[in-house]
Amino acid sequence: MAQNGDVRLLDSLLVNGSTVRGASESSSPLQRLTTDELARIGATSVGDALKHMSGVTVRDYGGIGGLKTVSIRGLGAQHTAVFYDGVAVGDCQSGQVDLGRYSTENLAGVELLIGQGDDIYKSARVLAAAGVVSLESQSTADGSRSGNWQAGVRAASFETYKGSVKYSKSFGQGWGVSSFGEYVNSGGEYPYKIKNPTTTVSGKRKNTDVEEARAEVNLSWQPSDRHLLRMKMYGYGYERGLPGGVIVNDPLATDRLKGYNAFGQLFYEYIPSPALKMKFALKHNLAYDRMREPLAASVSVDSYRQHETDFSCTFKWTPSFVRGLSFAWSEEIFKNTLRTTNNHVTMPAEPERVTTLSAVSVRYNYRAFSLTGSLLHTYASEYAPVGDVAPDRSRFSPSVAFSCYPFADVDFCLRASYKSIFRMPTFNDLYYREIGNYKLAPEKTRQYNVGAAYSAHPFGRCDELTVSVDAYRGEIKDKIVAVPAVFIWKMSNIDYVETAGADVNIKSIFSLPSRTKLHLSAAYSYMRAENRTSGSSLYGHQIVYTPLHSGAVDASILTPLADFGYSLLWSGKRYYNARNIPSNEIASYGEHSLWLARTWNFKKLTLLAKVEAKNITDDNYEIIRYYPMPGRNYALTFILTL
Amino acid sequence: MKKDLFLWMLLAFSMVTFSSCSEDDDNGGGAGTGGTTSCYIINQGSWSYNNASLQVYDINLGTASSPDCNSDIFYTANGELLGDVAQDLLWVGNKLFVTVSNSQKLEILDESGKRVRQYTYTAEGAQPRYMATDGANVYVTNYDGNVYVYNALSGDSITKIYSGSYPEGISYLNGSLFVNNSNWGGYGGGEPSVAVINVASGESKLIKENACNPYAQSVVCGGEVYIIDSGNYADILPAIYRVDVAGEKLVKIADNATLMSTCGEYIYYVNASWNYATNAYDYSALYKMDVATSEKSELLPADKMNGVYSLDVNPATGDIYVGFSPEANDFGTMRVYSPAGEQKGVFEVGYYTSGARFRN
Repeated sequence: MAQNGDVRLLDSLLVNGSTVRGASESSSPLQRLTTDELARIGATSVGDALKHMSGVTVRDYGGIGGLKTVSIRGLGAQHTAVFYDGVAVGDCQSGQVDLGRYSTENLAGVELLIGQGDDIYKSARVLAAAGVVSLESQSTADGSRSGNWQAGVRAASFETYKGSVKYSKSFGQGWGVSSFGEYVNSGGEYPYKIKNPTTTVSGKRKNTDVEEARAEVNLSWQPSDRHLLRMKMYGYGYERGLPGGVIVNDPLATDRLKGYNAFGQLFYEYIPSPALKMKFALKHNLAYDRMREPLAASVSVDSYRQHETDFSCTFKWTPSFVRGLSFAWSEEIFKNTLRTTNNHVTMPAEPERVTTLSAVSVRYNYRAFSLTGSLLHTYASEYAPVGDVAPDRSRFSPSVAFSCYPFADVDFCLRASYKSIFRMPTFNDLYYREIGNYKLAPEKTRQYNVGAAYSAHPFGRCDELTVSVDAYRGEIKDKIVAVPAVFIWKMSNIDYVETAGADVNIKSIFSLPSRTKLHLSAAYSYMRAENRTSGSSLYGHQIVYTPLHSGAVDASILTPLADFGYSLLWSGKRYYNARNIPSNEIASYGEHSLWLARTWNFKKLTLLAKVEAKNITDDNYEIIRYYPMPGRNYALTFILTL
Repeated sequence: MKKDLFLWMLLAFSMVTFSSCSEDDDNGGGAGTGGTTSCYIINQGSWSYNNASLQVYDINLGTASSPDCNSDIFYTANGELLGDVAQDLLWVGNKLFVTVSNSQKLEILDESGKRVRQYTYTAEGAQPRYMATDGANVYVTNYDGNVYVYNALSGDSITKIYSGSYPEGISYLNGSLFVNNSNWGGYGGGEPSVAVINVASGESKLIKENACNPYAQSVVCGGEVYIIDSGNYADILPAIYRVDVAGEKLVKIADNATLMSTCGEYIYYVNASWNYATNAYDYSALYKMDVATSEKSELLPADKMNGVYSLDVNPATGDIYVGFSPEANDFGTMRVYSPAGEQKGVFEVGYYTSGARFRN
């Protein structure tokens, strides 16, 4: 918690180690939350943090263990790529990453890039996504020679307890190490009320217990500005109940899920000259999930084990003969495998996919103008020991971005970008027993964005003010949906969706008397995402779980004595079923939260105490229909730093 | 998500066309919500959305009540939602028996849709599925392996009879129940068979030969019981089988059938299968088969079957009710055809209609 209100700019938040710039310096919408901001809004998971950004819809199934996925501008969660310390986090089975699994406790920041940015020194996989969520762990360079310790405990409503330990230390000759461990245990049972539609159904969520632990170790070596080596080992294990949706007359929920995720990644950057730099990343990821579903006469047990190995290399060349011109070339190859088993039936043979991405990018800066273009080639080849397999795919995807600063002495930027990209069908889409369709085509998207961003110089009591407004349009062709039929549904490329909307972001910091700082930020989204499938009975209907209006407001007052703040998450009505009729509406909601924090310093020790009251109006709301969110709840946190 | 996907698949499995032969009694009744001038439409709803609904279709006027769960006849009469996945409806006398599978309950209603009694099944996975009647009792299959017996007049619970694994479709013929014991798409690990249960003695015979996955549909036609076995979705495709009790086997009478209904001596059936060449569903024509001669004729062409989801025949008139659900999570339509195949009416139905039900 920043007692003095200073804003600490991150030096390594962008993917693969580029430097962070202000929101007005990107040719595509770029939002970020720093460590301090994450702490202030009280987001314990990345999924919660993203709710405070514009242009996204977070599907939150409620509770500590509830699945949280993020869709950017109505494109669908499978179009959102997630990077952790510059390397992709993949899920070849469902194509969507559960952002509820990632704690914010050890993060230096969370960043959301929509569309095509103008940083060309990126891995090809960044270019291959419609939007990117980047998570950056706290730097090993933060550690002192004697080492820094931090320990935290948190007790929250619904029998939720969390403990965490962090340690970082710098050595000589550019070596640094950091480690982090966290344990969470939650009973998770909370009362709910659902309007259904004129009567109220109330009860208590059951089978909500969660136990999870995560740990990571980071090692870095930076002997000079020319070399940087980073290594990360990450492990996560969990066991939880699946409360499921609230079913009329059936309160029973007994399904269990457990599993683990472990990965190791190695990153090396070499800068042989001011004109040339290059970086390499290697990662292996293993994820295992096991679901146990008691049935009337037996138990069904499904297990899913997936491996991903990823290697990327990226080069950037800035020739001296043309000022402002730079080129980048990135190659990435990754292999995914999925093994699915069931205790009663033979599941499809282990599918395997090898994907190669090749991208060339160019950027040209001339005075106040910047033009960036990229061309990505994707080649995917699949194999399965038995059964039908998807054909090889090959596709070129262009993108272009433009920005300019029309006024010499004003940090005001106009920007426009275009990105054409697609997503491969997931292994579930292609190979899930009976439902899967190996002949599915990739789902294609086009994004257009125009916007303006302004960063004010300090004036009066305002230390910082950043405003950005963006308007966008998008298309999703060959959207992958399940087609109903007797006996077996089938995944198919059917729908066509058009999106249009606007995002507004405001961030500001004010200096008030008595060494007091006021942080104010707001995000607003207008998002129209309609089914435009020719001949469909749903033509013109807003797609499910996409509010027309949504937003967030965060306000914090930081004083020498204590800090306190308020946050609001708000969403207009949405539809949970495809047809836009009143019976399919989910009511709008507003979640108001308050917090109060104080820090005490005892020589080398710092103790932070924070109390939070979330959803103080006890609004019984749902993000996903029949998955009620918790009502009013509290948390008490102590963090001790040495 | 994974589970969702699978349960959607199961939901799709659970179609039913379960109607009576013309020799079944018609108890008459008045206009509106009774007799031969009306029928009920039962709509499953989207899995886990609690939006099952119940409609009344006025045959003479060609009008239907609201398909919306917030204003269907159940909600209007009871002030609460019908629930999650309405599987089957059986109209006996002046009562409606409705199984709401994922809500694990049986609703007994009067003809206005008002609740008379309700039974809930609290054991894990004890979902009520399909029903048959002998006029005196109503027999309800349940995933817990049993057939529950209720008095058709009073709605009182009488007893339960063990059938086998994951019972689905059921028929009553000459003192015996014919129960499709499924294997829950393979995931349940059950043993597929058709159980022939003598109601009086409770004795049961399991017919396993040629049984792969007997599912939701079981009808009585020409003094025999016919079922659809949905196969294994690979080399064994859905087909219609006659239950040969004496031979203790299932005898295939028609390939490629995913829905069937019956009237008199005829079985009506249609097929939907995925065609990888066109990457779309292929729908067959609607066929009418004389079970005595096995001769079949095309009643409606294939291009009128796109998105077919239910098939029922009014035993009193021979009119054919074909339900369609071409789009995921949207209302469907039902078209009414004369016995000669001429369209007589069309109306909107709820999500994933289980079809039309007529008085027994």
